[in-house]
Amino acid sequence: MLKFIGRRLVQMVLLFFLFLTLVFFLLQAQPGDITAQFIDPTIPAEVRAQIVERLGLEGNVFQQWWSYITSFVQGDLGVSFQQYPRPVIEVIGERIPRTLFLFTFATLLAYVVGFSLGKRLAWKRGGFSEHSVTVSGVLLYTVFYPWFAILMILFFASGLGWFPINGFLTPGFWRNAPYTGNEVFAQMLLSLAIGAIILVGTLVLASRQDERRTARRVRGIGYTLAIASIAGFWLLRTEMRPYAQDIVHHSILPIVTLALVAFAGVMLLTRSSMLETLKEDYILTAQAKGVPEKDIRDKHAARNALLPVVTSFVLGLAFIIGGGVVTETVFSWPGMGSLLLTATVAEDVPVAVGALAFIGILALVAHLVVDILYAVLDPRIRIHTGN
Amino acid sequence: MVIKEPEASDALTVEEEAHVALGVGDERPERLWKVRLKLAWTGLKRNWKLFRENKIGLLGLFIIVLFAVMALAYPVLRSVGPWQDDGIYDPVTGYEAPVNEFEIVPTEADVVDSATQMDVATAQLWCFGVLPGETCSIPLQPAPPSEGHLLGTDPLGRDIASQLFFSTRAAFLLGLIAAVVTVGVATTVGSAAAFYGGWFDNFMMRLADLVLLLPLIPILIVMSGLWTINLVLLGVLIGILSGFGGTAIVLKSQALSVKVKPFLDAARVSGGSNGHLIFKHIIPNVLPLSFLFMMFTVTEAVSLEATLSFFGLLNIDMSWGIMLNTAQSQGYLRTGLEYWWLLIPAGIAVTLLAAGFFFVGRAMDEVINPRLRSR
Amino acid sequence: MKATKPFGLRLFVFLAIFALVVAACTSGDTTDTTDEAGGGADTTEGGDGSPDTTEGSDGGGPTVEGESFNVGFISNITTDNWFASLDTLSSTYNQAFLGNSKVALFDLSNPGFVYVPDIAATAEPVKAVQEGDIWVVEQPIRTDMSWSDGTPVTANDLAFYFDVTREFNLGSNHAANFVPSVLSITAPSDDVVRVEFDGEPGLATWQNGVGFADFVPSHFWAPHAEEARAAAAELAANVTDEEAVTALVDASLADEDPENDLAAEDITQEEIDAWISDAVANEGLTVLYAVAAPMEPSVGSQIFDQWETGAFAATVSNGTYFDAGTENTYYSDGSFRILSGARGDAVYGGEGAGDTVVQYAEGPFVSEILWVEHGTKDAAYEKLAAGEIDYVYDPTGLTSGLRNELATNPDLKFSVNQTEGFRYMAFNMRKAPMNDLAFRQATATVINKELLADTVLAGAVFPGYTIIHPDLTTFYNTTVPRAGWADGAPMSEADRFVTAVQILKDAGYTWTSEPVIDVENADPVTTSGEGLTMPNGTLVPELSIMAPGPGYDPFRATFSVWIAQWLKDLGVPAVADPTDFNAIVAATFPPQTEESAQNWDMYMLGWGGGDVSLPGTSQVSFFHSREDAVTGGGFNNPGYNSERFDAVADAFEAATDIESAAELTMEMDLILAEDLPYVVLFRTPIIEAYFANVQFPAEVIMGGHSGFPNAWPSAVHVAE
Repeated sequence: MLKFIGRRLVQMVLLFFLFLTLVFFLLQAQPGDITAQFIDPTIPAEVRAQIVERLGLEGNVFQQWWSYITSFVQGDLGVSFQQYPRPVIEVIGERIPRTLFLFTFATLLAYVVGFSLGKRLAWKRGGFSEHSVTVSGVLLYTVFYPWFAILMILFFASGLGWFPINGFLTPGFWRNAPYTGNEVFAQMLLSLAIGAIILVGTLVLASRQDERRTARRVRGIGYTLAIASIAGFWLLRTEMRPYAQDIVHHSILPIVTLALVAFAGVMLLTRSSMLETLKEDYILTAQAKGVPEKDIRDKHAARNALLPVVTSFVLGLAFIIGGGVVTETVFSWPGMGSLLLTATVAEDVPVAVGALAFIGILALVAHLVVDILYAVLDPRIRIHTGN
Repeated sequence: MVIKEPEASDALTVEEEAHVALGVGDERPERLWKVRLKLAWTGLKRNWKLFRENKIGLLGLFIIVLFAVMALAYPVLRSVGPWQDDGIYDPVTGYEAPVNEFEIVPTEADVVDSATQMDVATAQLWCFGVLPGETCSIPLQPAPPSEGHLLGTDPLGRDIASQLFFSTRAAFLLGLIAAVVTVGVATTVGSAAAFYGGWFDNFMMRLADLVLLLPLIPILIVMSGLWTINLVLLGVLIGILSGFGGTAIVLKSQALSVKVKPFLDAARVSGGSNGHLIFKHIIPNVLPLSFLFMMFTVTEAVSLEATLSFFGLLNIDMSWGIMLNTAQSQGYLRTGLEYWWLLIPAGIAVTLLAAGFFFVGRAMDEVINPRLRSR
Repeated sequence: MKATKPFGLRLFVFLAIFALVVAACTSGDTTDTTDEAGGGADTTEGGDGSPDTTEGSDGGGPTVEGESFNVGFISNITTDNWFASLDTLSSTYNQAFLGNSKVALFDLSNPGFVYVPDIAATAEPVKAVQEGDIWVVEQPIRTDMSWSDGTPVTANDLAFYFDVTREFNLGSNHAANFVPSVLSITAPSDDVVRVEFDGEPGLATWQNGVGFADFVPSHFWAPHAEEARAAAAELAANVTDEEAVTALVDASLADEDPENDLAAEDITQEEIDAWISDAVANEGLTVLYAVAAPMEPSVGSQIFDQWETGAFAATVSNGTYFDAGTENTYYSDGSFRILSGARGDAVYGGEGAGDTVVQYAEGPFVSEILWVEHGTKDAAYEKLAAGEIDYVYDPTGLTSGLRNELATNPDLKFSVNQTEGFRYMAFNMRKAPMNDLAFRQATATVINKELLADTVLAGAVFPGYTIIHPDLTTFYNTTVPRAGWADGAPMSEADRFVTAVQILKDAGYTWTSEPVIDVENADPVTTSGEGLTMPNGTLVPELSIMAPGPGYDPFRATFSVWIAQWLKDLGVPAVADPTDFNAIVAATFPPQTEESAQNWDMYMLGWGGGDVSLPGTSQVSFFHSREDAVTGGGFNNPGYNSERFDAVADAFEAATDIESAAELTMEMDLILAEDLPYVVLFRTPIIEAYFANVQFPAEVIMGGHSGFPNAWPSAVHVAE
């Protein structure tokens, strides 16, 4: 198990360096001089020379590449032009919790709904309901996303007034607040993480029970525990709770919008991987034996369709992260995505590239987490790597 | 639109069928093309039959044909049709706006007929510096749909319908470029990786993993900050990025299954060079599958262009994304459905065309991959 | 096969339950929220005690009763540091919320831009007198002002600012306050500022330079300056000559121009020392600009209190604002009267004759101002329509769509104002045929900006003719000739072409086929000209007009397309080239080399407003030959080089009184209209929207309320 995780970790680190190299060559390949892009012309010449040195932009291409990589690892991504002299890492760090929150919730929502719908869809072939669900799924998947987000705002925020129009908090309410937004975000992420750890622990424990009933009981206790711990977490923080609620209220519409679009992709992918599984011999055997359809679907097919779904999860990550950029921009959610866009528009190259790199890290880490989770949950892999 | 050659993971490859038809070892290459053509034709018919059963695929095909008709109709409408006047119907520089004249009165209380009179304070918003007694002419732009402008005009007085039709062509062009580049890149990379194996394969596949993992939107956004990106360059970029990613991986596994077929060994034994083997034997057998991915690439390209244009990041005269960008930058997007003709047509067009290609691609997937077919 | 329920379903159940819990919390809180809101309000009220204590310790005076004024920003705040907001982070938003905390020697009145004393104790700036080689001003200041923590404002606060600016090489606005000819600023006593100049100071150096420099709370910033100094000293102790040499060589190699490359032995000790001192200064600057400064003592109407990044900033009103209770009156003769207890009664810039145009009292009348950040314009206006904010601070004003939508909203009021800036087309005067006056004149003649502005763009823009805005009456030259006009009115389309063809013919241009002009026709050029050849016999090459695309600015995009068409009609093979805004800037603005400056023909961009009290400074920086984008690194992108203009510009800079400065400004505009390095195309009005219960001190002000963000926080009213 540890060996497996270790190997994946190494792979991810290698992938990340490959990615950094790509980003570096992206910068190199652009027209004009990299230093000109990296250094605001309004900054005095002497200061420019200093930045050139700090960014390691001197020397030949290989030296530049090496110093780019090393300074990246040391957390030195240069200095923002827009927010000079703030270091890029600081500008990005401020945005990370906000994006992480949006992203985690939307991903979970999209995958849970997408998976269960896709599973049912694969089972129901041909009928009108399959066609209509598929067509609307595809339409959601291919929808012109910013346009869709605007329609959602028009309908649910401006029209019905259920949600705030944009932003992530109510200024008047947060005036003189004892916390900063990021402190609250950090607590919210912490509570989610606690819940998630309990949940994963439960699932691992349950998958090791041979007796089905015990496994179910373990799970039941685990879920209750996870929910209780999150609930308890916030019950204890009476002072911070209203602020967290304010943020949650602002986040519902962007999360739902993003999840709606992303879930369609998951659903379609689950459906096709389920279909492939359904043609496997053992399913046909089970059918021949007269095992109830629902049991085949849930116990035999879905379980084995999990591997392709994990793959699709990885593919979908890119989709969700990309959609996140649009979501944050349309909803004025000041996260990494909107930072990336505003920095690009403002020609703040260090921040734009830094945000891109961190988005890459986000994708890689999410991939790693899913991989590990899958390895932990899937008995075949566990046996293979041998405890 | 439809698969040109029979191809299925569990079916015979083209070459095998050809060999079977000719009898193995009976090398008469001058007749090979005829056999291939015939095979292609029968395959086409067979696949069309399968495709026809797929209602969603047909829907997709219908959508694509509809847009193709729009694209083809545009030059006709502009050259001999009702949109001949460049000054009015040009999608970028055209202009027409009916003008409403208002008589300016001192206060709101003096307004008797609000259709022809306006108080001086309100009038300042349109005719800055106007005084009571003067007239203020307000051109109606964007204008709602009328006989001359079936879908109304945009905030700059340009014909929406003309823009919509004009942009269709751009969307197809972009999709075509992206699709061809994707297939070119993916087929080459996939085949080469499968053929050479070893570190090359390893490197290429890790690269593919990486590209697969990375969201295209942020990458393209950053690129648009570094380069000036036009339609063609965008097509090429999308093509390269999606060609190096998932498509390459799938095509590689397809190429691998070809690599182990006996005819390849035969060709190798008879002294074919590596290049010859890749281009003459592996690629032709991988190509049909790659047509499938062309469809998905078009979907992706259409969506990406629209999104990037919406944010004003591309250097394109007119496209569906630009239409929404114009409406947005002039502040018409959040006004609800009052100016629906600015909001709805372009949004629907992007969504539908992207979906059309996706439907077709999905149906083709089911044709090629028998496991996905209905029972 | 182990019979287990799929993990996904479980997760789904779990999440569904969790969602229910969250929903329960939130919906349970609809009642709760009101409670919370009440509780929140309670906290705020109770909390009023806590900021009070902070103020007490940090030194705040009494708070101000009143409503909270919520201002919507259409972009994000990027700093809470006053120093940075005027240099590296000089966005209008940063300045808007940080800038209401200082006082300067002199100020411009709101409205009218009359030059009035602020902390200066004299009505007019003291004249500079010669003392040996140098010129000196000893300006007395008022002694009755104090920072919000009770510390008096003294001459030392300005001297401190000057020293910091010089010591750490502060740039932009800081540097503009203290141009190099300012040698020193000292405080011989608390109530006298002594400024030394290296020559007789012109208006831009003294009255509009040092005169507008802010006094900063030296007691607050001195410890931070000390930290900056320490950081700088540490760097100075560690940096070696070798490092400087390496950095200089690397910097020279980094740009791709091999001519600039340096070898280590080329570098003189002087250059090394300069590099080190700059690096050291920059280190100090970095430390200084990184200071987060809530509750920095203020002498103005607002005290900066809180910044929730990405959401909002808050400033509280200063109960000890020095100008509280002052009565201001602006008269139709352009004079401005200030009546205050401390300052007495005085009229500036005229007699105080004519009608009262605007009259208002200084407050502040709001308890605090919330500066709410929004990602986009739409988002901000949507919140305005929803009543969540009172005013959208929007330097470009309402777009047509927002105007059409909001105009009928009974809750809103609008103010429409002129803006000082202008959009223009520049010629590359380093290249033929743009270097030929006749060509530029012919081009300017066929550009029918009246048609585009009034008809095509539906009056959304005004045609422009001069660099100086017509409303700046002191400086505006009414006699400047307008291309394409005859007898005081715009020519007809046909006459324009006839005139332009004649101009080109007179200059020796020929066509293989001359444009055919039908005077009767609405579209007078029935056959476009072809094969236009310059007097020296070479064909006019294809010329590109770079302009922002329709996505960025539909107005300029429209202009570029039409202009290209008119030029084509004339026989000039011109094409409109929609180009990224940033790409245009990169291609035309410094740094440029002789070669790179050959890569463009014409471009369209715009300039925002400059110093309304001395607009000639913009003319000088756009057109003086020393500001050439290639040789001088300035904003003279066209490469305009005229001795006649330079002479007038130099005289303008040396002028010590406003009358002669105005005269020279007018002359510069005349020369520019004749030489046409730019064709000024159009200007845009600014429409601003705010809630009907908001009352700004003045409605009519060039550039709108967002043009002068520090003019109204002290006097804005929000009725209940």
